[in-house]
Amino acid sequence: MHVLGFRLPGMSSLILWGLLWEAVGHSGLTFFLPPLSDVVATFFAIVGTAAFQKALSETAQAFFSGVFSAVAIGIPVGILMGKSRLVDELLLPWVNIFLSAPLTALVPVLMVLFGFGMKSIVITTALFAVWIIILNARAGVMQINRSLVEMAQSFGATPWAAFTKIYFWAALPEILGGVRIGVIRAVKGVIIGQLLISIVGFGALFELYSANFLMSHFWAVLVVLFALAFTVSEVFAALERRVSYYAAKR
Amino acid sequence: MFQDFALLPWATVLRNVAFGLELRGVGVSEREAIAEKYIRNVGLGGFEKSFPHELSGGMRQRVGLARALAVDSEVLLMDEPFSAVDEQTRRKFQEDLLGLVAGESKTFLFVTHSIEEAVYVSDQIAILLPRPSRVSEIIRPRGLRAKDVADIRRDPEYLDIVDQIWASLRSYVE
Repeated sequence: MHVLGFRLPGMSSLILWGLLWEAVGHSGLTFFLPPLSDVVATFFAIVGTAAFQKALSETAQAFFSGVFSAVAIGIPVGILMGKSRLVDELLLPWVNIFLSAPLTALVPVLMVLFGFGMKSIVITTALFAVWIIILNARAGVMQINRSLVEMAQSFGATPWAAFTKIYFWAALPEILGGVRIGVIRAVKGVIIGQLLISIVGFGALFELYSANFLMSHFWAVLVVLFALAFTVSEVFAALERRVSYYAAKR
Repeated sequence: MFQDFALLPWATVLRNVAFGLELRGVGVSEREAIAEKYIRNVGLGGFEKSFPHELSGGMRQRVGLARALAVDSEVLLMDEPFSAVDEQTRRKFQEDLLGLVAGESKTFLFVTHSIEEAVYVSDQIAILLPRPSRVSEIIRPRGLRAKDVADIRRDPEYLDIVDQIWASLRSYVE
């Protein structure tokens, strides 16, 4: 964007919002919103502490195991649904139900089934991410050019080769889009899991800071979380752009 | 060969041409050597590292042709291979195809909607009719293959067969 002849770098608007935040914080309007500079200072104060790093590693571990399971399950299931009418008819209603269901309400059930530990948190995380990954992989496969499939068949491709060499790659732009949205949902899942199931990780920090009205600590952790989620999602967006050149030409 | 080429958009020309061999489990170095040979044969030397979206329609179909030839099967199936390329490319392809048929001892099964194209490239023309699908007639031109590619379209036998096919088809076209 250009303003008065100067070219503004991307996300310049964040500076404006940051300044607004700072101003509102200093105005003393509400204790809930301390100035941004305080939040940043708090961030540097707590980032080295053992409590923060333990929370970060617990959250990262749960998040990445959850996302990994969601991807490992979601992509093959989605591709199978796109390929096979039978599997699609069997699973599509469930996928649609769970995609729109309030999954938070299921968390207590998961606690009964899988206990109060890490396992339940990982499952919650995966549960938040997996449905959109399935749906996107399915949509990607369904719009594959039939000629590509016929071509592979006429050259004698085994079902496995067709799966790994044709379906996966042809659906890749949609699959990556699904994983990107799934990752964002997984952030939600991991925090809800950590708040509801067992108070560990960032969930525990949120609980601790908000219960003690340590607002700049609370915001510092929240900003870290947003930044992490944004970074992971941008990585997938970049991958998506790398394959998008053929998305329109399959 | 496919009407819409059916190339892998995420793979280079080299991998596309070698893809049939890849599916048959031929090793990388061997299949790439074979693919390079056929890429040169169809006149795409130098484009090995290009991607399909960087090529013109005619060049893409040459990739499809090289891929079909690379697996060295007895029969090549061509489903309207020249219908999506422009007229001058199509004529060039038809001439090249005749050279190829003469050079390789393979059977080419060629599906087309163009009467002229069918008569131009074929040793046997099977006319298909719909509802129920059936072969209604098989025509075997006699003297055309011996002619030079540039003279076929002026040959009386060529013109007669084109007329004959149109006469038998016109009653089925509303």
